[in-house]
Amino acid sequence: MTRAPILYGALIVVLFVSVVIATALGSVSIPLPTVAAMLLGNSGWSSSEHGSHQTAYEAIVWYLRLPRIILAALVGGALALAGAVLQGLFRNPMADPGIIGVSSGGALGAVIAVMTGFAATALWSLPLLAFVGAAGVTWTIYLLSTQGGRTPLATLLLAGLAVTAFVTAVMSLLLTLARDIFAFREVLFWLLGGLDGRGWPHVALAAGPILIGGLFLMLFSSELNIVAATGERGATSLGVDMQHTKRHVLMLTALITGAAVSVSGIVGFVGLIVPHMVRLLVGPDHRALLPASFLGGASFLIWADLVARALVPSQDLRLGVVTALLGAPFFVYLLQRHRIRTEVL
Amino acid sequence: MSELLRMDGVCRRSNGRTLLDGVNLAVQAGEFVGVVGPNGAGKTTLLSMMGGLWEPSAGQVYLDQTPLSSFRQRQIAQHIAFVPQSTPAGDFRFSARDMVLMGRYSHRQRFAGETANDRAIATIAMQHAKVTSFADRSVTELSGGERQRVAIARALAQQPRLLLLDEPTASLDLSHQLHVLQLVRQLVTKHRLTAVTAIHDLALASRFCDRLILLERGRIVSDGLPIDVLTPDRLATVFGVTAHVRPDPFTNGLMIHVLAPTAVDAVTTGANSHAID
Repeated sequence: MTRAPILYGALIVVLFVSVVIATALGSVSIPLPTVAAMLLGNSGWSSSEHGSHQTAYEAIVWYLRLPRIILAALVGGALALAGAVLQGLFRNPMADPGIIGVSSGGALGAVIAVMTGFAATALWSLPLLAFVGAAGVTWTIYLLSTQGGRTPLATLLLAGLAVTAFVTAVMSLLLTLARDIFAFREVLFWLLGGLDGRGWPHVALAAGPILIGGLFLMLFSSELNIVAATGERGATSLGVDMQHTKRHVLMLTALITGAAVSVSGIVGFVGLIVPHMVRLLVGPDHRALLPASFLGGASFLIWADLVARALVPSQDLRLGVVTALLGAPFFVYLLQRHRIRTEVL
Repeated sequence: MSELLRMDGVCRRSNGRTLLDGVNLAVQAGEFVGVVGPNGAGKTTLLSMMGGLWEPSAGQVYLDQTPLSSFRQRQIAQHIAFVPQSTPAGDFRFSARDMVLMGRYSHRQRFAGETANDRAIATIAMQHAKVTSFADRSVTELSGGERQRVAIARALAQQPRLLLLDEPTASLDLSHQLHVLQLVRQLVTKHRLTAVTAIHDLALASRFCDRLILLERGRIVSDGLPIDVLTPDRLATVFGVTAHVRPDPFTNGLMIHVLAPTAVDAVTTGANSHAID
């Protein structure tokens, strides 16, 4: 834990630098000092040397780039935090938010929103249905794997697999029945994840659940340490109320990932790989791992989103595609380099 | 002597199988009790029920005359520690010291970190269990026997009144087997700890334990002094072996000379045909 302050400092600096660079880059490039000055609230940036650019820069930064970047940070942080929590809870390094049904449930909600036309009624209607789907499927998985007041984690994992497969099939069925090619395209875009066209209202929707849920999740760090280290039975004998822990951790995880998925669509791989990268830096202690994963996931998704919107001019790369294209090779590199051990298979 | 733990008619059924069948027993404060019996007799189940890890299907377990089910898990862990039979390495690179400190969880304030007192207690526990030399190594790099000693240190860090051990010697070499049982014996004798251990080695059991409980198919067959429990008759009917038993002049335990598996006809007429599977 002695290295922790330095690491947090470094991660916060990385996050801030990521925000500045991502704000500066895009179809219109803005000088880095200008961006930094604007973000730090320094009005000196609007001196005469920029002159006529001032209004344009202001609009681009405050209304286009910054909300999208903050949303990327929130979504990336939530997904990475949720992945770290679930890997600890299930003692399974392959766990990610997908296994508790958040992704498939969110997708089903989004498909229903689009196909019923509900999505077109208001800005928040698709996020709302996606969130309801995500939370509803997680709750269903929890209920299905609970018998006599007990929820064995292995049962939960298997029920999660089954329900996720079922929900995905229902969604595919709905899609193949769709006659509207535009609805089909909209759903496909949502499934591949992305933050284009997102603004402050989306930030307002997602920020509360993600930040509050994330803080509450961090209160379970000691319990997660003990479960990750000793398993469910071991944790019980050491005095952890496992049923209480599982119920709260699952619901909070569903809350933050549901909020993330509802505004971004499905962005894979962040929840899987970021916690592994962060563990190499800070070790397995969840008291350090959870905040660090949030900060690391936030920076990671800012960069992925920058690539998605700026790499190929006038081409709209999907964020979910970018995270997998960037993340998978990097993860394989880490596996080779550090021999991340697993006894799962 | 005062009664610490009592089981009244405790049954445990799971998936249609009866694992424990009407167990009555009492454990007095300051006793070292060995639970012996063939594979599948219910030793692990019995210990798990004593530790409140599983609920009885019928009957009741009492700690200090109070039903175990009326305690919170955290309260139980302040009184009872459990050392499991195997401790898989897992994927998480916690140090041995981190693992031992987890034993302090039930004594800590909710959401509070470890205190200097917690660290001091963990350090003493690690010295007792001979973990100190690898305290800062990751448990994923330790041998099975070393991890077993970490688990024992963690249980001691709980500062329990009742220590439950499930085959604590199974993955240890000879000298560490003796060390662990001597350590428990010493804590029981000098510090009034109470201990119950499941144990396969009957000679070690008779040497270190005050009292043995012999289980067969979820029932207590015999309960008493080692020399009264481990008779040649019971070794034949319960364990399916022909054996000579006599006091061991070197250890105050018993010498058990196993000569041969019991003849097949004797077994089929006896209660225990599964012992020769």
